[in-house]
Amino acid sequence: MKQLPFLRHFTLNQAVARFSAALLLCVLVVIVPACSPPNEPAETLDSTPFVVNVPQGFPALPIPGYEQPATLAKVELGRRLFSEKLLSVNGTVACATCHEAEHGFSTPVAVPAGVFGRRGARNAPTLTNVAYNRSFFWHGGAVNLQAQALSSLENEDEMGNDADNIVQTLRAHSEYPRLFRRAFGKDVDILGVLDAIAAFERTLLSGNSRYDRFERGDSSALNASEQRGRTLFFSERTRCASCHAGFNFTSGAFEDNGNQAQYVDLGRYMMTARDTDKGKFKVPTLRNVERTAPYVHNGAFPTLESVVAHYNAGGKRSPNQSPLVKPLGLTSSEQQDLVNFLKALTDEDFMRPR
Amino acid sequence: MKSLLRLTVTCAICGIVLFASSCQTVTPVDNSPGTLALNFMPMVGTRAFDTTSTFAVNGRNVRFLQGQIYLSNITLLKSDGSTVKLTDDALSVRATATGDTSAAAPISITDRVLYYIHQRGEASRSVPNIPAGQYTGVRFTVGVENPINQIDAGEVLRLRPQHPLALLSPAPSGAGRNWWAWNSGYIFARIEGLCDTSAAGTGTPNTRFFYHIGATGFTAPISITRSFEVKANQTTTLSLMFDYAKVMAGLNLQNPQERSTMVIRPAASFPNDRPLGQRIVANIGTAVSAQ
Repeated sequence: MKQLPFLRHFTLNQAVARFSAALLLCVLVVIVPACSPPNEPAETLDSTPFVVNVPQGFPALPIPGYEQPATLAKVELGRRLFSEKLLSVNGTVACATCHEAEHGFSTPVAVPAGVFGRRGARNAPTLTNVAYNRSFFWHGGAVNLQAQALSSLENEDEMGNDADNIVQTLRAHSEYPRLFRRAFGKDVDILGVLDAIAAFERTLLSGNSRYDRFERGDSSALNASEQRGRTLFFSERTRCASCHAGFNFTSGAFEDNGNQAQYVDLGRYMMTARDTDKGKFKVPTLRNVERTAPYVHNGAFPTLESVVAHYNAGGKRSPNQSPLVKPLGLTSSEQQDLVNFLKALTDEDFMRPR
Repeated sequence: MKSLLRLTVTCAICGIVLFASSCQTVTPVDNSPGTLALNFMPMVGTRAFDTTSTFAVNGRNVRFLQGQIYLSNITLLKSDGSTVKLTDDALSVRATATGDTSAAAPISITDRVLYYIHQRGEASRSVPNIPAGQYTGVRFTVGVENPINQIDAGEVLRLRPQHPLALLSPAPSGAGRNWWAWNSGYIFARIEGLCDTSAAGTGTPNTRFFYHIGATGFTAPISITRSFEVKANQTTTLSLMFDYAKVMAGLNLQNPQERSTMVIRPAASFPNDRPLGQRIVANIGTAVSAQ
């Protein structure tokens, strides 16, 4: 066997064998890693803006200066979180549990149950046009959407959780860390949770009821009874529109509409400690009111008819009752016209699932 | 030779005189400010507060888990009769004025607010830029007044994450939330723990008590007489003691109605919250002393 000069310590066969082994090793070292799936790229911020369609005639959406503009990713994250039961301490209650789309983002229960069947004392308010609210909860205790969400997340009668636990739960989830990086470019934190929910809630805009179409010139949008009801609603005789005012049928003020003969729920007083605020609650919007029964702060009125009858009777004469609440002298027919008009404030499109 | 010697001696004398005169420096008065370390030391009677010991409070065993206190409106009283209000870099945040339904307007907060978290051993806060001089006492408020109590702690968290008024989020272990999102107000004094409710009261504390004091009208003004001097470029310590036993004076821990209050809970469901809160505020007024 001829020996190669540079391999004179090996035979040709041995050299070939060693060379083959070395070549195989090189192939394994180089090619095998190249065949491995590459590391997944980290999710990056998606700044695609979310274009809000504000209904005709509505003012611009009020958004605090410290918030970044809405993006598709933020709104989509907020939509998911809104229905996410994992945000509650026992995984059974989501925002959507008490704020159901088909019920105008309220729920047809006087006082809904939260985790473990616990109940507070108040009806779940509608989220119709909630972006325009200047304060939140019946007594106006929360100053913005984020504060309201945090409160419900942590209230033991609602979702019973705490910010720390919520963040840990979402960080351990298979998808939320990625969704947060897309929406905010950062890891899950409580402000991100609250901002995403707020971004979604600002999309809950309702301005396409038959009343709106009538106002925009479609005279067939309201029938005769509804038109009579509309006239009554905006009349000096009823003064309904004094409190249920403007594009969203609410002044945003705190009023006592005389629904408590004795003040069981002190309402706005809990914020201000002023005796003149006892029994006062935030005037709610009447948009979609047909679908948000039962009514008033504790759901004590089961139907619109019962509410109109209450006002027609002049309330229960509570100490801080608004002077606007007084006997109206409406006939049964007029009361029905008023109810029919209120039902015409329903925006069917708003009630679609999210 | 003699002339040279004389010249040398003269020069030496001149040199000594010049050197000596140059040593007679005039020390300028230093008007630089100093730093005040305001200690708010948690006590339970004569013992130091902690979260592992068992204390006897109102005749029964108690273990504290949380003690979180806000101080604001802190004013030092100088011996010349003038006052020095403790201030901070301005914080511009929105405040919802009580009863005002119009859009929240921003306010500028320059008050130096101090937040003590006693269960974490945080009992000392340093405040710089205190004018040097002699002082005779200090006044402050336990809690924060309106409109500071009407701002959004979440907004503060975005703007100044380390500010004492920033929302605690995520809550550091052992510290409960310092702000009621539901009623938009700070928890001025947050006191929690366990007590023994057995007849003898000498057993292991295992029943929860909690007192969350806040809301308009639930602050406690404090005035302390204590001489101290702040020196230029130095830190002066002013130690005050906060006695949790005095805060709970007169509370019957066997009575469930006296084991808890969150002042802002609905009165219909919790009719005792505000009266109990008022009792505790009155107690807080007696619980501070100078070391």
